[in-house]
Amino acid sequence: MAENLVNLTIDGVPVSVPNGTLIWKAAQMAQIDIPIYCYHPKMKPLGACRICIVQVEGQPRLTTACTTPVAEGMAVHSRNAVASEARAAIMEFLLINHPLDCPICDRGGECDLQDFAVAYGRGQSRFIEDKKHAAKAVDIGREIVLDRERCILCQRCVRFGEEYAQEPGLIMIERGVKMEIGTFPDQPYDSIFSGNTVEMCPVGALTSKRYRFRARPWELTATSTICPHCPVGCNIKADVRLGREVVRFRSRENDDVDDGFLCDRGRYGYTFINSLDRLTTPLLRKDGELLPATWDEALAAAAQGLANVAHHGAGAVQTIVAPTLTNEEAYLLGKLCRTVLGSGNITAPHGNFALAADYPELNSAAFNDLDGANLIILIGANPYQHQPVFDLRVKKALRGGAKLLLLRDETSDLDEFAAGTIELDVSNLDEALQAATRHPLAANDGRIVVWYDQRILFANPSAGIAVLRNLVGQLTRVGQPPLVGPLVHFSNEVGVREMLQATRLRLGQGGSQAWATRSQAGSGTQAIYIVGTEATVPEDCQFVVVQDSFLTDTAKRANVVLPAATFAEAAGTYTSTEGRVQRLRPAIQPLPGSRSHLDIIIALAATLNERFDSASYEQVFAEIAANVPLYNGLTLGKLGTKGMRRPLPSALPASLADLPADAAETLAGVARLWTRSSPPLSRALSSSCSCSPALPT
Amino acid sequence: MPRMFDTVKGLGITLSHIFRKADTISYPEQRRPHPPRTRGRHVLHRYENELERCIGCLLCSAACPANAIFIEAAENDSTNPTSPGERYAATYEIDMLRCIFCGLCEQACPTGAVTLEGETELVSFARSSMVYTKEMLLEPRGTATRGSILAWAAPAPAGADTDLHVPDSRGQFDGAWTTAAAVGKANLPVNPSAQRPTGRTEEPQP
Ligand code: SF4
Ligand code: SF4
Ligand code: SF4
Ligand code: SF4
Ligand code: FES
Repeated sequence: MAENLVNLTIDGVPVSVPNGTLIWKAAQMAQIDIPIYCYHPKMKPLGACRICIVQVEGQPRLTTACTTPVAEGMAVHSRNAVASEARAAIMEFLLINHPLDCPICDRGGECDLQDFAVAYGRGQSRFIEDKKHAAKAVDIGREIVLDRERCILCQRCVRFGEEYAQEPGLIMIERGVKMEIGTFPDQPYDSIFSGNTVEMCPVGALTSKRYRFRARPWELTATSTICPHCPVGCNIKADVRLGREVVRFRSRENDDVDDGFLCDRGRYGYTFINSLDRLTTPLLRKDGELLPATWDEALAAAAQGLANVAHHGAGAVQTIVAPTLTNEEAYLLGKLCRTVLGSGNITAPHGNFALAADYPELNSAAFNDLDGANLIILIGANPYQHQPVFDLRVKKALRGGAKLLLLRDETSDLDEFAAGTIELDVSNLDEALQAATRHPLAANDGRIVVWYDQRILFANPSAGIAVLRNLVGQLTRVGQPPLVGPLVHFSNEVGVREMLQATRLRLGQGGSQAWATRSQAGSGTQAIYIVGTEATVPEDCQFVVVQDSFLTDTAKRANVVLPAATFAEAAGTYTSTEGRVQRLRPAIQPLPGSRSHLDIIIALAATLNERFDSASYEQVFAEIAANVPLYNGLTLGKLGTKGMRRPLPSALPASLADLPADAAETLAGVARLWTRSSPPLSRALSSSCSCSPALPT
Repeated sequence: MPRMFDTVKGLGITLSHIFRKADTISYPEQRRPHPPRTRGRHVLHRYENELERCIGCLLCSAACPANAIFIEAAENDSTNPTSPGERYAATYEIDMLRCIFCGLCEQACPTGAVTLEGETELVSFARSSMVYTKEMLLEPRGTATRGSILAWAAPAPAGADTDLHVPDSRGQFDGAWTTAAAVGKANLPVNPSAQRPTGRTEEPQP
């Protein structure tokens, strides 16, 4: 490495950076701030705005730091008299036509134009003529409003669509003084990534319809948390106004996960938190009608109802777990069912992906592996629909030289990027995968990364998993197996399933019902406890407890409704589809009257005379780290702000067929299990879980 | 020795005051006029075209050291605007129990919308009624006063701190509709869409 380093000085500070680094980046490394407008670290330099102007000794003219690569022995000055004067002049030019809008501009208070004008500008304008006037508050798409007067024509927004998202987006219209941003005629900018342009616009030219005029930046406090709307798990900052209302999500750049971008589903998926329809009091059915009740009454009624049924047999009480609950909530629910309700009847509406504990070779890929790959194989995936930011990551990898082989049964926006396509028939997976191994693209020795959508395993999970493992064997090149990863559909589908697997409960089968986030209660079920999701409740079910934030159709059918807080009010961890465990932090307090899912589960258990050792999510996480093999050794501190991928088991588990299928099915066995906190569950025990579909051996 | 005379001197001063006119008045029957720069209860001003001067920019609430001002801004209905420009204050409340009558809000306001006036008798039997709403603070339709902002903009009385900046005294802007809104020069007819500046030909407003 060392021989590739280039030595230079910036403002007299010596810096050594890799060859090819831009001066701006080198200055960043030396902690010297050079202002930028048009440059964006994730996109190619353009050199349009000139604000980054610096002096390089020995060069006749000033140069832009964002376009010039470093050279050995360079002496760069970013704030000597020459550079400062030039920058002040650029600033003056930029402000010539800029309106005095700050008091009504959304960006006011966090605007690069304001900040740099104060830091580098002259303070007084010498321009006495009329400014150029242009259209204001132009509606250019579903989420975005454009103000043409405020635009400084840095073209970040245009380049984002063109270069990064690689889809039709905003364009430059006209040239010279008439130049302005716009869309193609009659084509609103309705991309699912459009919100990113608002965030990257250095001024207030692009504003978000939902956030417009809702708050001022100095009123906001940001909480670092995770987007709950898909399993990519993009990192977000949740901005809360005056400690009360969530008004905006911004990207909290995590290069390993989201590369600093969000999709609109995530970015604007916060409005429901502030909804007036939220449940704020428990409801209890009396004489056929749902009436408000106190928490104590509701918990007592729920506990009574469930307990009445619980002794009818091991499957009498069914628990349905949303795939958006946190690991801690899912774990405690598993524990509640097992120890208190005496039932292994628990369902999470999810697909049948191969669990990491059993199939580490089918869970080996990380998002980052896309970037170094030579060939990316996507099986039945439509990330644009289901994991949007993953779609951006794939496109980025393709720009970096990877080739894309699509096994598809529907069209998606990645079709035009594919180097090869194979028709996929999910009922005959083997054929398509065989075709993939024979495909000329798969013939070279480079790194292969495979991502499969979990839905391909719906029809026949065990056969599907066998076929995938077979694929791994066939694509192993020079001793290097391909990296494989599942693409699930819900934020914590992976984590919930791993928690339930660990709590050794019989998972209900997935299937197309589950696909639509509805799960079917099993036969023999006499009472159902539904947490955070909707479900189809059989007519003859005697007793239904629903724990949710809204009065859903399912809740309307319930005997007891417990108002739960949303993700923005909850603390816990999520496991993303690449197996990254990340922390969810509460941005606001639970809406008065509601409680977090975790608190409700603990309270319900207490009402059922079961006091859990862990009373907070920190304690539950410690318990998970001790008891769930994949999570052994993780601590909240290690997860930090960016999370980490849970380690994969190095060896394959013992053949499951060797273990009695219901080794842990008896209550006595389970009671023993929970009372011993250490040593942690042994590998053999945990893999005796009967939750996995019949496994190929 | 001289101490003896101190007592006599003191008595002398007392004696001389007995015959002077009293400084106190019999309040509330008698009242003194407040100086023009008195900082009392706030007033929200209007333009002559009845639009509200306030554009909901929240700068006053940002400046307020007592956290007394609560505002929720919203988008103007362009056919029937509340204030000039795109933005107006949908909620505007000042908690008079928190307010310390420092006048920073008046200084911060770019449009001269909020001023502190001479009314100083703010009393109530209920705390809740001390939160003054926008309806209570706004001057009635048809009135368009500038309030104490003129007193502050006028040459300061001798000995006063002259360093106070009143944004409105700038007296200059380029004729753009929103700029006009932003600096309190939007004394234009009510329908802004008819008045949207179209280009360089527009005459700057006085
Ligand atoms: S709208 Fe914003 S991001 Fe786009 S060119 Fe104008 S200033 Fe740049
Ligand atoms: S891609 Fe997924 S995780 Fe990322 S912002 Fe969009 S919905 Fe949220
Ligand atoms: S006078 Fe001072 S304390 Fe009172 S509202 Fe204005 S800024 Fe706040
Ligand atoms: S500073 Fe003036 S214009 Fe801005 S919100 Fe306050 S009163 Fe309204
Ligand atoms: S940031 Fe370098 S030219 Fe714009």
